[in-house]
Amino acid sequence: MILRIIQLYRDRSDFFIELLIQHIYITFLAVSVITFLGLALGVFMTKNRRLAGILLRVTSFLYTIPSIALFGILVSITGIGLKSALIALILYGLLPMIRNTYTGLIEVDPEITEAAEGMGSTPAQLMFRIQLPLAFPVIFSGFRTMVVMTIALGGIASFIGAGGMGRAIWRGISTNYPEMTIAGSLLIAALAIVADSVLEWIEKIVRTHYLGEGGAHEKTTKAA
Amino acid sequence: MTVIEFQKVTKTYDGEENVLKGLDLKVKKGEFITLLGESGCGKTTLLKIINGMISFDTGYVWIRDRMLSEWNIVELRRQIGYVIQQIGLFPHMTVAENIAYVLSIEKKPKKEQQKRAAELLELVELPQDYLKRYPRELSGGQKQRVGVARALAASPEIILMDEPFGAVDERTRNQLQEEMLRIHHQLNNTILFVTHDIQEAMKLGTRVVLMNEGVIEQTGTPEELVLQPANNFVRQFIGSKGYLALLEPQMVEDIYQQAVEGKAQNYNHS
Repeated sequence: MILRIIQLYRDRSDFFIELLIQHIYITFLAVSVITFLGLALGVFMTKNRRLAGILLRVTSFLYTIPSIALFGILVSITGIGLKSALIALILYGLLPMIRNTYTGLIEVDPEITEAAEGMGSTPAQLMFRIQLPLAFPVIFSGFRTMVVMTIALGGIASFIGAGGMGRAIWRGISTNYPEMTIAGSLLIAALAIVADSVLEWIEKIVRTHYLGEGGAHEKTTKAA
Repeated sequence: MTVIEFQKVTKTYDGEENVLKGLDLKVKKGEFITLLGESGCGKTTLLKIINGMISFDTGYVWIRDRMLSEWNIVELRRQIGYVIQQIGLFPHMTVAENIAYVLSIEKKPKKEQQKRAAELLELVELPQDYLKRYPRELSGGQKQRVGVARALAASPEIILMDEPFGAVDERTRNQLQEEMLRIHHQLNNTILFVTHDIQEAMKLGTRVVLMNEGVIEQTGTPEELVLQPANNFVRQFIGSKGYLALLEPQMVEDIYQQAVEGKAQNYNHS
């Protein structure tokens, strides 16, 4: 079985590479939109607590809809193709991004923001120099979760004609060719793991930048 | 020259009870005012009105030659040093970056920021190698020194301090108080200092403002509050504790020295 999968990768390498590139492309698009939208909404929510409650509830609700059902609903509205797939991926990915941005920001010590405000920070300086850097670890962990999730969900997005690795899985299922299904799934998993590791590495570097040498040091000593 | 003036200022948080009940206060340049009173008397509210952290309801507040409402609040805050009890140092910045924060948001050159941070660290008597440390590596007293240095960065004419030494041990507090007196003597800025500690108020203040339930019961030099209390409340509040605080610097030390020296001589004899 394993040998046959390896054989398959070898024989159809062009096919898999094309799907992989598609998959990365779709994920990249979705992640970009989610990051931008999630950050903006998360920041905006800290200025309006009532809106925050509503948005968190709506996104949590969206999150609980089974993905197959959501894809189904979207197909009937926006049709088959990349557009529907992207909308679905974005709706799912928003929750971890919004929630972590919002929580990270409101959990910044109020004494620190009071000091920064009292010293004459403009609202933008307060946000970009104090609140966002301090919320960064929480925001970035949300970002990591979201990226891994979007890569995985991207496999299902192919079912509504968006391309990506899901097509291999779909073909395997519909032609009763389990090797094909497994080969596709493994590649998605590998992509997710690689992305997660790279992000972990970046997280460490940026953490050092924002929290100082001590911040990174604390983490490494804990790991050691 | 009057730097800060309050005229019949009132403030309410809940719309019913006034935390400040028509307050009048004039602060002259170079004064070290201690705002004394129990918690809830309105002293912190009074302080935070000055840099616009808290709004007031009726009355007038003047900062220098302008009414508070005419000031651009960000511009005003940058000219006022601000130290709070919990210090609020920025954990993601080094000591140098913390101290130079106001200069950095004013987009002053990096060189100038570094130079100023080094100067101020020296002023608060911390070694220069602390510039590169992070707040989490400092003790409570050291953090408070950095907090003071940070408030002084833009050479503010006015400095507001809200129970800044409340959370440190007594020995460190004494050192910090001595340093505040030295810094005030050296820079001659106008300081408003909130405290509930009678001794601290007496020791630091060139003028003490005693507040109670939103009104000022008496303002005057420490001696005036102790020896000429305006009313019963002042007499009871300041009482013998204030008297002791007055005595302490001069007499108590002398008496103590005499007592110890007397003993030491006895030891020498035997």
